[in-house]
Amino acid sequence: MALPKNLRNGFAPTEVEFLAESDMITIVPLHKMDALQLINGTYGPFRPPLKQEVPLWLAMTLKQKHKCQIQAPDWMDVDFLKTKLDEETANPEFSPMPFRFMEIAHLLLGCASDDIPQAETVRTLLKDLREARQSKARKGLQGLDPHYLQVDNMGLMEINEIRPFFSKAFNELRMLEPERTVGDSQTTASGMMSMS
Amino acid sequence: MSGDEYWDMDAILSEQQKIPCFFHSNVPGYGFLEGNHEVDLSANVKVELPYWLAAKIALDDYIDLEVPPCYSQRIRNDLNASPTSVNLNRLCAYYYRFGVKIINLIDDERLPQILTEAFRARLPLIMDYTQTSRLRTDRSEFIYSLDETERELYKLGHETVTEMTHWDRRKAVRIQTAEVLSRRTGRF
Repeated sequence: MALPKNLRNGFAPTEVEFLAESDMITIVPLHKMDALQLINGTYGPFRPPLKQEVPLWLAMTLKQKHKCQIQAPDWMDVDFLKTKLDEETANPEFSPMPFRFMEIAHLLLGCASDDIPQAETVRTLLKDLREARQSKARKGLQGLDPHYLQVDNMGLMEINEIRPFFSKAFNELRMLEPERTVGDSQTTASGMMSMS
Repeated sequence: MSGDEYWDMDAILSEQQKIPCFFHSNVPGYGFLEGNHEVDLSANVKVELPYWLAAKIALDDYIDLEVPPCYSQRIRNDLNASPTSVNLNRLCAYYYRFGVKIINLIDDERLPQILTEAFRARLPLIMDYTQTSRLRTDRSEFIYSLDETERELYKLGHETVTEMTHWDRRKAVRIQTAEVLSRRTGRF
């Protein structure tokens, strides 16, 4: 309980972002460089026209020193996002997106927007997508049932965003149910599991 | 009080709510409960006792309980008709938590369902308010009508939304001028 209040409810957005920084991404190095020996692995050697897979944090560091170009992931593409957005608005359920799309997009658009084709359009599309998904989460709240909650295809950041509110609402709703016999208690227990 | 509520301040406060009840027999020396100057409390007179006391002596069969007025038929009808416009905070600050206790104490088949429905109907609106307004600047009627449980939810939701906007605007990583330096004293 010594944690500051804003960290008690789960992860802070910055922490979630930190987790996403270890995802791999493809870069095109601009300088010749020997292999980097780091604790979690060896990356390189970097030979300029050849692509390399490195963790996102390393890619961002190199990018800030103008030593590489980041290749945007496949899904950060205007056409792809447009179809996704159509899909998202047409269907009632969440459409599949990469688990960490919000964090990665946020990081890449922040430090490497010149490497992403049509970065501004991508940014607006992602924002629209996020709004569409947020309104779905809100709709899900109306159908909240005290036993379980299905959160298919939601990204980590989205889950983290609704977690404090939903889990509290969920627990309160469960409390409002009259106490049951022992045989029924298993369903409630598994309902808790899916949320925590 | 269940085990995990021992240190819970809200649980303690919710047990302070009064329940109307009737004693089966005369109680010597407890006339003050009725609010008059008689020494003894006579049987079958309506007195209001806090939940923590009433629950214990009701189990030992000294009193009969009545459903508290905030869960009366009239309020139930209101909750059914338009859950979002009932002022729960005025009825009872711990409406749901007290309700749960009442459900477990008094046999009432419809009350759990009514409370659940009301809670569920009010949730989306609470979430909407967390998305749009700043804490404490909102003068909306609805926010004032929330009971303590809902208020807690509103606060939680609001904190997450604020954090997300901060993250979105990169406030966490941006270096800012310290307040001391940005404040102009005029002397220097």
